[in-house]
Amino acid sequence: MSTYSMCYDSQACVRCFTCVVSCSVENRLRLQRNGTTALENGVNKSLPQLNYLQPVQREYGKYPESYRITELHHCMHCENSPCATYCPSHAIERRPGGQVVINQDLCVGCRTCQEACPFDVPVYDKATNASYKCIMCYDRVESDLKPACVSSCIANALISGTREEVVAEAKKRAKRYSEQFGKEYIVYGADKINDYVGKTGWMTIVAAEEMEKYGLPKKPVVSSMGIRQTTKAIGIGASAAVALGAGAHFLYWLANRKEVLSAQEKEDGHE
Amino acid sequence: MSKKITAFTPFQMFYHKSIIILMFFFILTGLPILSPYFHWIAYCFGVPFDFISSQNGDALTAGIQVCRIVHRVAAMLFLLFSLPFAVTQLLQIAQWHIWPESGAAGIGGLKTSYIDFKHARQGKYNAGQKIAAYVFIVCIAMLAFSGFVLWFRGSFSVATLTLARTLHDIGFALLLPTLLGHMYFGIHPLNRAGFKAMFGTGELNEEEVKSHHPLWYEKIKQNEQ
Repeated sequence: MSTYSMCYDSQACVRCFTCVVSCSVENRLRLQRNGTTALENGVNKSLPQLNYLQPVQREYGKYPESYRITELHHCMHCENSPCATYCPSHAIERRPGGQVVINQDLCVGCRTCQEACPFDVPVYDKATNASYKCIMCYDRVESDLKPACVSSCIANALISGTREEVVAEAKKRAKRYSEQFGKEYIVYGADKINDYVGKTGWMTIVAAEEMEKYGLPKKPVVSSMGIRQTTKAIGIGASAAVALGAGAHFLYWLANRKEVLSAQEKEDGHE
Repeated sequence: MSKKITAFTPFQMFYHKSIIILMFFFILTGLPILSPYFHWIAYCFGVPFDFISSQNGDALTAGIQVCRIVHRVAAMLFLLFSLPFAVTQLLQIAQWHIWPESGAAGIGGLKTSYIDFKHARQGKYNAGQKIAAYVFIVCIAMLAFSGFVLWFRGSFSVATLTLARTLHDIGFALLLPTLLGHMYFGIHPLNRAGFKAMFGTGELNEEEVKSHHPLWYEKIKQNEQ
């Protein structure tokens, strides 16, 4: 199975948020399908952790020139998926299709994924002591269906398919927008962003000058994760060095033991 | 019978023993979360736990969860023992033997003691022991405060959690090698008298103090006068 990818076209999007609603509905139905809970419970409870797509609205500039930008906040399904790398209980896996999925049955609720994620995506739920985030409807995709949000999009602003198809279509659209609006449009995540995340499975077509306002950082990295890895390596290395040094010192002491003891006896004799 | 000098009070000896046991559990249960190289420790807890509790779940997840709980139980006991210990010790902070002393051999004294195997001019503790004491105090405080944040991570922001994790890691990375060195010199035959004092009666022979810790001996004699 080749890598499955998605793309959000912020230019084509009409902000109807049908995707957000269908995502939430799909996740409630999923609870019933998985046998986790009855449909009634899934519908009656608010379960905010199941809203994998969140519209985040921010205002920029000063009134009356101010304008609003709505970021569609969701998991990027990073190629290098730092959340999966740092998860201590191996609860996060990358499916053959490239979807990054948290298995709540294996999650210990330590929230390392929250820390490792440069996009601030995973949400912790106290009731189940587990973290949640978009799974790119891997179950639907593996059954030849489109992700719920994509299938419900009325403006064709969410597209999905094999990576090659999606990247080709997204780049075509970005090129057209660039020509039409006279400013550069990019496909965020189509190419490697940095070593921390790599490419992303969920790309975004956005004006280059506005990408950060859409919650798409130029350098998505959590530097403390690297610092911590280095600290741990130094700690283990220093401990090994001390252990080796202690062993060497003990051998040195053994070799000199007789002389030391006789010298001490002599000293004691003088006293 | 030679005269005995009290090196450690019964409370100090008790606290030291409890910290040894707690440190064992802290390190044992912390390592699987520190690095996947130590996941085997989590499996050692998780496989029997999974079997006994009939969860039929994942052994690694169960093991990590058991490790986290044991780590927290150890933390509670640590708090229970450390609070009274810290209070009683801080009240006599001026009498601590880990402060710099004039006339002490310093770092050079370590060579005299451990390479030449002769008696260096030093107080109750040599320069190495003093440095280890500073590292222990700073690191354990760092680990305790950051550990508190980590335990109640739901009440703090992700940025605070990240800072706490980083401090917890730095604290441990400094503590572990120092602890290994401390253990080595502690159980080394050169330190037989000190070892016996810490784990036995808490007392040292006057001759031992006079030859091994001349500065301390002078202090004691001065106080006696």
